[in-house]
Amino acid sequence: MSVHDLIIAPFGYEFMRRGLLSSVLLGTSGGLVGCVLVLRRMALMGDALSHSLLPGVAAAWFFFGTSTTALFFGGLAAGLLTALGSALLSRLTRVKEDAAFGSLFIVFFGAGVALVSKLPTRINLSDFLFGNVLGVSSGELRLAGAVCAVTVAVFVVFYRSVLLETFDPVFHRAAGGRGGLVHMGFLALTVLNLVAAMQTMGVVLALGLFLLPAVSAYLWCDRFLAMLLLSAALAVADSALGMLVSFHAGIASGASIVLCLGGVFIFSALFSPRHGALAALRQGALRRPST
Amino acid sequence: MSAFRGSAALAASAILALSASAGPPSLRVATLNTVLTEIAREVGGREVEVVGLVAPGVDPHAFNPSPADIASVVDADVVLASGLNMETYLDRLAAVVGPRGRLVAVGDGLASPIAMPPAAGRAERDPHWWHSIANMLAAVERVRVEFARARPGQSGVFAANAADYSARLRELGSWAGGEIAMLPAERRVLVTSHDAFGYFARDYGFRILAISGLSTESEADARNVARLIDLIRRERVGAVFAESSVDPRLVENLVRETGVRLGGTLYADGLGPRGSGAETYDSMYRHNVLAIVGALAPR
Repeated sequence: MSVHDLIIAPFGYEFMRRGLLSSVLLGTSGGLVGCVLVLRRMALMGDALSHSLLPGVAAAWFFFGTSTTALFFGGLAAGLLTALGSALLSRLTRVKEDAAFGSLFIVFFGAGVALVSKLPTRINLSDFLFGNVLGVSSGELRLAGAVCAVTVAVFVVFYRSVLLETFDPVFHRAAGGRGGLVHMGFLALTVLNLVAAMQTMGVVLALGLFLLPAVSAYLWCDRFLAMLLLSAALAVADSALGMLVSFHAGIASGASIVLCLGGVFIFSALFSPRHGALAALRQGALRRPST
Repeated sequence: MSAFRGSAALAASAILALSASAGPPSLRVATLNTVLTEIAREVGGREVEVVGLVAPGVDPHAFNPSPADIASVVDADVVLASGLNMETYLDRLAAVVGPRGRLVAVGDGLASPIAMPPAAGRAERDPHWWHSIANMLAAVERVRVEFARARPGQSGVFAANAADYSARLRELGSWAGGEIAMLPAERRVLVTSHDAFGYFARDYGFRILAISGLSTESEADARNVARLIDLIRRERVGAVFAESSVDPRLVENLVRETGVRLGGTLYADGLGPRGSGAETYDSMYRHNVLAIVGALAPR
């Protein structure tokens, strides 16, 4: 098999180019958002959020059918309510944000399951909720492009605020920054990305594209900007690799991309020269707990 | 016609239920498949009470029983399931069937189920048996036997009903044979979302090309989609078909990429909901045959 057959020929198919383009777009913006999630110890938030979208999507499906736009805004509304609701709860009550989040998302998920069970015809809802990277439509591609553009623009314009709020929210507030607003804005951006990614590519791939490139980049980089760039680059490279593996080996495409990203993460966790497990073992770091 | 007959039978059984204080209690049947619901109503007539647990339009692969559904199973004298592993939850459901109830997996008793090429080491059989009229006749006979065993006193009525329904099925089969005879052999290629039309294909000499496997839950991979696109181009396939209970996005991508025609929506996993024009077996089967012949016929 020539190099052409191996790498170029698969992308002669339009569905391969579409799949690649959508995962590159959402991987880039998801990778950026994921970096902040990882650094702020909110990595599990994506998983929780993906559950909380269900009632919004089910309600949208109930009223408007399987229109992409309706499902998108339904999911977006439910996600925003969960994210901003828990941010508000943590500021107005004694409950910390992680507990508020954990509680709200499960209430939302319960409401979603209840709604789905009352829908008149239970067609395979998950099939409509969660896209497939091989079935990306033109509308979804435009949506992915818009979400990616908005995310990159926010990071470029508000880079300083994002940086400060990520690393030192206390200082940020003391220095007169509007920390609460930045935090809420960031949560909204996360929800936007997650809803777009899940609808376009399915829940497994969406969560994988958010976390895995970011956490891999975290193992190699000490500077925030380098981490952002490496994260986006890893998302792009592994999307292409995963599509090719799916093409040649006949593995479900979303899972294939996630496994490629996972391979990079495991490799980084083991072999990163400064932050990897082997380096730590060599320096005897196991004896003292890391901070 | 048969829709009218069905609703007439329903009205009759409602009237009977109101005056049911006298006479033996009617046979209670729960079904896990919309086609079996129809068979049970046709064979049982006014002697049975049929509860269809999987509503029309619901994907049986993804069916999730509610407490009320479980209660119907507990109370039923006969529980009819598709079998052939269509109901992956059947083992768990078998545990709740009442002591006098009988769980019958109709598909498991059919003469020649289609064996799929063993994937992942496990041989699977195609559970979508009702797309073959011959299988329908065998299923009607099986249901008749089960009903007669449960209510021997009424076996004559069940036999008459079954004979009547079978005659209509045979009529439907010969109509379909005539329609499909208009398709030249090389045009009998069926591209669908999931692999549900194996029995239909065997009856009428079609070749099946499906985007994903036997269950609507299995996910497509890029290699398979690419092969389909190549085949559609090379063999100048006439049309591809969407399915009523599957996301049409992947099929729409095939249409966009190859320029092949979208032949319409087929009912793969059972009868359609009220108002769909496929709410009886007869209309569902006719819908599928007309859509396939209409889209693939040379023009």
